[in-house]
Amino acid sequence: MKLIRERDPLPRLLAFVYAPLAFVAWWLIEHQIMVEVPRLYCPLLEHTGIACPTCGGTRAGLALGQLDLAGAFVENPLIAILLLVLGIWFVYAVIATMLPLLRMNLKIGRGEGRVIRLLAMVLIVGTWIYEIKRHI
Amino acid sequence: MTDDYRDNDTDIPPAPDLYGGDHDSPVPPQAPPENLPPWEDRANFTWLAGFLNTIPRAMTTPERFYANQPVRRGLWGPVSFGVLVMVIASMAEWTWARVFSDFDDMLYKLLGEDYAASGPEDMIMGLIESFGVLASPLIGLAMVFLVAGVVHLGVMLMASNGNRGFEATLRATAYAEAASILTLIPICGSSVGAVWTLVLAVIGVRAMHGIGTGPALIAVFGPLLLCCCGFGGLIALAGILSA
Repeated sequence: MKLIRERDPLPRLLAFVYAPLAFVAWWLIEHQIMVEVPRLYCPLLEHTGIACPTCGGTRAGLALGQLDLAGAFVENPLIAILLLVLGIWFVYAVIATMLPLLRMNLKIGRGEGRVIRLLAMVLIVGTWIYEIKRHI
Repeated sequence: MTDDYRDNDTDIPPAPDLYGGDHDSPVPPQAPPENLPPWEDRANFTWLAGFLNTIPRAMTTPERFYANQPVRRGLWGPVSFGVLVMVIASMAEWTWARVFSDFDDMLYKLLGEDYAASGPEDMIMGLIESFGVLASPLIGLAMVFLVAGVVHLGVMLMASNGNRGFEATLRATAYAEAASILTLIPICGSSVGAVWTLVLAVIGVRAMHGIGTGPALIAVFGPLLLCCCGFGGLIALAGILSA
């Protein structure tokens, strides 16, 4: 895995789409505008008693919004990590857009890609097991 | 008699050696020409003609439609198409909700339930629906990127030998929205359109990234089924399959 000079600006620019989207979603939920948190239930949990891998995701997002990192990880580690990566990605995008010298692309080798995919799968399955145990 | 074919004429510079000087090597295969959707092909189609031609092509011959689409042409084309279709679908849904406002009551009566929306409730629902239509370009824009982002996470997990980038996924999902035009058909149009959109998205992801049907299915349905509406998605899928 290495950093190379930016060839494709799209990954950086997409941060300016997804970070504001996440912020708007958080703001709507936080202020209960058009979205009522109690109504955001999980159909899988509701009907079978088994939680899904993203159960607690909304609460994790709300906890992160209040800078409660530990609370976010307790609610849902998968969503907490995804939102943290999104935040880091956005900060990098803002800095790199202002300072062109810092514009980089991450080059991932084939073997490294396989390891990252495996870790992602482990994270999804691990979070699912954790959420099932937490909701029993 | 003059010789027009001056092979040994020193005035003519030799042709540049494009392929490294090994004249015995076979001619390298040429990349197939880019297959631009009519919506983006301004040289041959107007805006309206491009839009009207893109919808049937995407819906009826998706394999050919997605084959050899460019993946570094920019997001404007697919995003604007997806948003436009979503706005039309939203307006159609709003209109049908007005035209068939008694349909829900009739359904409740058929089910033997005594239900009637109260005055204020009706008014609030009407306001929300109207706001939805007015905000549909923004909601559509958000949805195009949201769906593409979620599906691309699935593609990144499933494409073991690399994927062709985010634009390829966005093209697959945004042009799959072509089937949402079926919302113009009242009552069942939006449901049929939703299923058709998912099918087009799977075909699009498979064609754009050059992955198998299985990984494409998991890439599109995996995030939808495993995320928050996992069970609802399964019920919907089971309902569709049993219908």
